[in-house]
Amino acid sequence: MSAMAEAVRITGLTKTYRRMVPWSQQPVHAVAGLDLSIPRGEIFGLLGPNGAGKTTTIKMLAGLITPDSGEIAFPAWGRRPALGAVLEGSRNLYWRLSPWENIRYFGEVKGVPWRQLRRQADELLELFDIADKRHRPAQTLSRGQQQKLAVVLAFLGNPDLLLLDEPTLGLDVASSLTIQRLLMELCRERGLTIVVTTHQMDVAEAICRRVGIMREGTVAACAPVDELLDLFRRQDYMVRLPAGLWPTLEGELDGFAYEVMPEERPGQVVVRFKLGSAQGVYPLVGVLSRHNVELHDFHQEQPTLEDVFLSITGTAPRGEGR
Amino acid sequence: MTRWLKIARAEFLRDITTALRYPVELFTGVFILYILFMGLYTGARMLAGRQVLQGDMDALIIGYTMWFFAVLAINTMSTDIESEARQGTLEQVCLHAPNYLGLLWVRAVIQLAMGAGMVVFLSVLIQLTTRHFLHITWSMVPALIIVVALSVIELCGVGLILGGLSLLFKRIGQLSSVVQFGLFFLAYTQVNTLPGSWPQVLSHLPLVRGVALLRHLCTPGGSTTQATGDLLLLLLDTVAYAAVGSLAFALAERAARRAGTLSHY
Repeated sequence: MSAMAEAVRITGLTKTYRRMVPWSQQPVHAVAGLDLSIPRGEIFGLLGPNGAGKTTTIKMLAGLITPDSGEIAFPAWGRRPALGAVLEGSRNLYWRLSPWENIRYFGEVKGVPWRQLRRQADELLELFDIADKRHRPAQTLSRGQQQKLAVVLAFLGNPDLLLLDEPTLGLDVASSLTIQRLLMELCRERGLTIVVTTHQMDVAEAICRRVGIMREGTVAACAPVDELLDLFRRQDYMVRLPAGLWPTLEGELDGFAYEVMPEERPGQVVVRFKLGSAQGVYPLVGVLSRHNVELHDFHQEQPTLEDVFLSITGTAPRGEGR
Repeated sequence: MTRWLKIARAEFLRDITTALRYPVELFTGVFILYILFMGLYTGARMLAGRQVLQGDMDALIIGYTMWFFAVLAINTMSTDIESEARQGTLEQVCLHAPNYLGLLWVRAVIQLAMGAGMVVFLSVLIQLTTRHFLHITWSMVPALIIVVALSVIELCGVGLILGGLSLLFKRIGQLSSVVQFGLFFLAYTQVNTLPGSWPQVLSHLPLVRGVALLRHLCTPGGSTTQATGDLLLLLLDTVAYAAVGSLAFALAERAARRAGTLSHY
């Protein structure tokens, strides 16, 4: 099986939450005809505003929610793969048990052989830097340590496919970075396929090779992160120059589309030029050099995944999606 | 070791670890049950004018200990589901156990076996305090264990029906309380004094036949040969309750997966 085989193939997936009792809320169309392909051996990000259907999709992948229609196939394995999941973050563990006791419980329920379980426990607790807390009740650990433990539990038994719903939500920067680094390392070293949902665009940009952006229950865009960024890269150039020169220079810029950015530093002005094409740089540089402008900065503005997300969904990552 | 035995070991270790880590909770539970019984006993003595007959006392002790099993069975099969959903571990357990219904049965066996130790302790404590002793002979012990086990499995069937409702609707604490109260009433109901065909009908309700059999076996002269018919009927009731409970739970689990309420709280 090649490393880039298709791990998950989702075709025409739909899910509508219907009323359980007559007086409850109206049906909610959580997932509406979702088609998605996830390659094996990489971290795939499922992004979208609140209510876009990410969690429903990941739970249908896990088999915890039955789809109304559509198909989920796992072509890379030809069977249902061994799954690991963090679906409720730090709530996915027994708080009264210690990390080791949680590992022992979930490992045995998963059917992990005892020797392998002991070896994995040592290895993963060490890797996630909670080995010294292995015998302390989980409720006495910090939020970050609990979240790490939840990820450790998901790794037990060497799953083929790891499903992580907001794995870094609510963590401090250091803990979030640690988890991101470890996920990338483990994905690379063990050839794991990881599906991550997140609202944190910086996290998705840092760890995902490919993302699917969901909007109203379907995928609005799905491509490698680099390609999406390229697609949304505009010929916008940020120019920082001395403020004193600006009144003179402004009269010379009739042919250019630009906007003056809010003042950042006294004595300087920052202007965003929207040039349309890379060739537009030459006449701009010509105007600037004619006025002997001493440039403090001149760079092409790079889009972030958040810009891409905003353009596609028309809403902030944490905005109300439905 | 098969997968289910490993799961049983995991469940046992989880329960015993939690119980030993928080012993005050465990002892407070036993103490409250003891106090509750003493309240019942005192009430019965006051009503009976300070003199409680041996037969009534047997009924009081047997009914109470069986009601304790009923509470335990409902907690295992239903209340625990609610708390696991609230805690966030329900999805993980459903995701990784080979079969959630099977896991609940394993849990029931482990928790009720552990609970049996507590029942014996509580029962001895009650008998020592009240100085009323059940008439139990060693030869009768196997029969008593069988009757208790069958009654408890019957109660697990009831617990599973509530567990299914718990999966679908989550907050069913009030309903569980009502059922527990109903079972308390059934643990003390002597249906054979009722007229007409009521005894035949009502003896199929949970606890009723089991408690009646236990009372019979704990009476001097009580024997299994006299109660063979009732034992068979209890076995049939048990199979029926376990089957109906399992079926109801399996259907509710399927509905919960369809409705997406498996873990929502």
